[in-house]
Amino acid sequence: MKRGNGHSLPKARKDDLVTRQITGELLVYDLKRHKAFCLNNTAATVWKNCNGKRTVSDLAATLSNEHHSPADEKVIWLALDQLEKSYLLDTRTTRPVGLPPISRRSLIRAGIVTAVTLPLVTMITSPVAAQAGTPITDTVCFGRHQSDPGGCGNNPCSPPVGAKCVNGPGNTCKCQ
Amino acid sequence: MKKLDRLGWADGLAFRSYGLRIGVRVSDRAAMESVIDRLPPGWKPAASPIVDHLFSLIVGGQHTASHVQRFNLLYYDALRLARTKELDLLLKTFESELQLLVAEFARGRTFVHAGVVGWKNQAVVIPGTSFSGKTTLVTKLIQAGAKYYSDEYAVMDKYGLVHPFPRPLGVRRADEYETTRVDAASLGGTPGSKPLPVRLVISTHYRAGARWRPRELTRGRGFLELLANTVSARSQTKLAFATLPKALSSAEVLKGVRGEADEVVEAILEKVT
Repeated sequence: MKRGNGHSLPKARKDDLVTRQITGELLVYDLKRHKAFCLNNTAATVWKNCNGKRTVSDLAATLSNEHHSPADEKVIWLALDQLEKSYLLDTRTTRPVGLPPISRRSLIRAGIVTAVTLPLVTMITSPVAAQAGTPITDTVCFGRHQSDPGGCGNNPCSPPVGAKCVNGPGNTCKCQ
Repeated sequence: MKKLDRLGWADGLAFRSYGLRIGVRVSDRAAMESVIDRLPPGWKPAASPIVDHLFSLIVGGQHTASHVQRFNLLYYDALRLARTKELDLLLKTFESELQLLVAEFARGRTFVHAGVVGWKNQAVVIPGTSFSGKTTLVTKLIQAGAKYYSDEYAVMDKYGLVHPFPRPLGVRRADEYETTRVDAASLGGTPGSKPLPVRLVISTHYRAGARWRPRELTRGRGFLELLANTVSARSQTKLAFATLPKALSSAEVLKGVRGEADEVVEAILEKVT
């Protein structure tokens, strides 16, 4: 979505996502990238209101209304930065020329922290089944072949601790 | 698969576990007892021989004439999982792969890689990867009087209640990779039988000399801690998204490194009121 001045407005991604609201937080799962996110209340409010029509000022006003406290536009930019990095926006937001990079620390230093909590998007990469399981031994890994269905499996293997069953020379697999 | 099917199979078993129909066949009848010993807790023989998943164990042993030691082989359908001369290692792999299969595809249950004990009719869940010290902590909690639920998987239903998965504990001695199976009763513990609500989630790992000073996480962050250890996080995402938040609805989530397990047991149990 673009405004007449050529600036695109943020639009939340809807496809291939599983969401669940819990008290004070929003849980999101990206089915394409297999990443899970926890959005705090501020980040969730911004994300839910990104409809491709609202400007950053509109979002700041919405956030103020919902939290009954003034919200600086820099807080919105910080949220949009995090949401964009997490691939949770369909439309990239055009940053105004000259707007410096915004970090949580810079906002705290500038005293912009108000009753509105700073936005926070926490992310993990969802494990494949084997990563969430008990590891295999070197012998078991060596017994596999790259050409097997599922390849070497990428199971955690130990010893050595922290190694994974990955492709070895030729068609073999090895713990590395 | 056809090649495998053509081999002479001495014995076989079809069983059900967490809604899955699984079969095991062995080339040597003597191995069947060890196979049965390693089936998941709560398995039941199936009336029908038709299965969705099939494991095949070819027992190598020693060739009588040539004294050549033949490999033991383990297959899941047509995929070879292991090839080793040590039968015990093959059986351990079978047990581990079978549990992983059940954990990933169980119907209506979410399996989180975690140790679980019951205390005052509530569950303490300790998610974590292998070598994070789950079994050590579970052992100490059992010795302090907690009921044993599992040292491997927290099995959660659609209401968020944790069910027992009371396999023998896989105790690993210092600097050893291999685990020894230890029955909870021999540690003075009693297995839990009824599903429990989660009261406490402890995300921790062992670090020599560390002091237990955990910080409390929000439920959302706690959800990520559990999801990071959920076997079916990718294959049954929607189920995990329905189950785990319910499990956390009345739970406290603590995260931090710990030192010796003895030093944290009391603090953990005191949290469960």
